Formats: sequence, structure tokens, C-alpha cells
Amino acid sequence: MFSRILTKLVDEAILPAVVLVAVRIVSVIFFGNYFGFDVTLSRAGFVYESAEGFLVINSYSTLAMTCVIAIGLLYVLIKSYIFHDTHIHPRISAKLFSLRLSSFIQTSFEVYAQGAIWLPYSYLMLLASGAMWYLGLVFDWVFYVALALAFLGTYFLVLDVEKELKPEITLEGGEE
Amino acid sequence: MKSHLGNLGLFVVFLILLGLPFGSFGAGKIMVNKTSVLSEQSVRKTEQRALEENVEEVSEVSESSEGTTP
Repeated sequence: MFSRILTKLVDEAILPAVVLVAVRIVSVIFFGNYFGFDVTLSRAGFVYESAEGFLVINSYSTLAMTCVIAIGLLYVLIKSYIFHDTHIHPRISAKLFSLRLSSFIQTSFEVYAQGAIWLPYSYLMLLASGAMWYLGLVFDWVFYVALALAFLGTYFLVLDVEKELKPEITLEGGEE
Repeated sequence: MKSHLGNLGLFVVFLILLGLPFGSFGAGKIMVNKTSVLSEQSVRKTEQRALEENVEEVSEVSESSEGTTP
């Protein structure tokens, strides 16, 4: 049979991929209109009227995609820190059960499968924005934003994984 | 064997899904007066490279023919 992890990864990767492509298309058209540059969508792709317009629209469109990745990563981090079944606070757990929202509590497999999608997206965005900055196709601050996102996302997710692997030592000397 | 191939296929699908949003970065053309700036740039670069190569060839020929002139 197929690998359970791979099936889950493919399943979880479909929505972010569709959302990111949609954001790219919508943001190019939106920023083209907002900044007053002519952009047309043809069979060959986006056609820009000027090099300056391309630089501005590409930068802000890349930033919009980075923001979407940041929202995805934040969603995963909130789930892993607050609604993770291995270290959810008993009070939150009780409240969720009383509100019949127990589905909010998620297993490590679900949380980390989503983390394994959004984190590589942030790395790919970092690589893409770095290459485009090197070629002069985006402003430098786009690359710095992508760098900060990749760094913070990795840092906080690694902290959560560490919490998962290393059980907390209580004051009494026992393990929780 | 079948499951290995299936898993490999799934992995390829996963990689395609990861790369899909970034494929749109390459789909950009800058057109000024209905000619692509990028294609103009590449043509200019090729011409420049050809010119440089010609200059090198001419200098090599002139260097080699220096001793043979009567």
C-alpha cells in the first residue's frame, strides 16, 4: 500500500499550492491596477508594459505570497503550541470539550504534516526571492522579509518539536 | 515493487505541488513597444559575445602573422 505519510503530505499540499497560485495571479492584477502599471494575462504569461512596472509588481506580489505563507505558518504554530494533544493545557482542553470543539485538538501527525508543507514553502520562497533579488527582479526588502519568515518559522517549529521529544521534568522530580 | 513505484509517484506529485506556485515566477514578460525586453537583452548579450569572440580571433591572427610579414 501507499505510504501513509506521503499520502497525507500530498493531501495537505493541494490547498496551499492552489491558494498560493491564486494569490500570485490576483496580486499581480491587483498591484498592477493599484500602482497604475499595465499588466495583461496572455497565453505566454503576464505581460508587463515596463521594466519598472515589472519590478514593483513582482516585488509586491512576492510579498503577498510571503504573507500568505506567514499566515499558514502562524496557523500551524498556533495549533502546535495551543491545540497540540500532547501538551494542551487542561483548562483549554476542558473548555473545548464543553464547547463541543474537540476537533480543534490535533495530533502530532496532523500538526507536523501541515508544518512539513508550510515550512518548505517558506524555504522555497526564500530561495526564489534570493535568486530574483540577485537578478534585480525584486527589491531587496522582499528577500529580507522571506529570510525573517523562514528563520522564525523554523525556530518556533523546532522549539515545539523539542517540547514534543523531551518530556517536561516536574518539580517533584517525576516526568509529566 | 508496486508500492515503491506508487510511493515514488506520490513523492513526485508532492514535489510538483511544492514547486507549482513558484512556476508562476518564470511566467513574466516585459514588453516595451511590443518587443520583449528580456529577449532584446539576450539578443544584445549574444551579439556582444560574438563581437568579443571576433575581436579575440582577430587579435590572435594579427599576433601570429606578425612574424611572417616580409
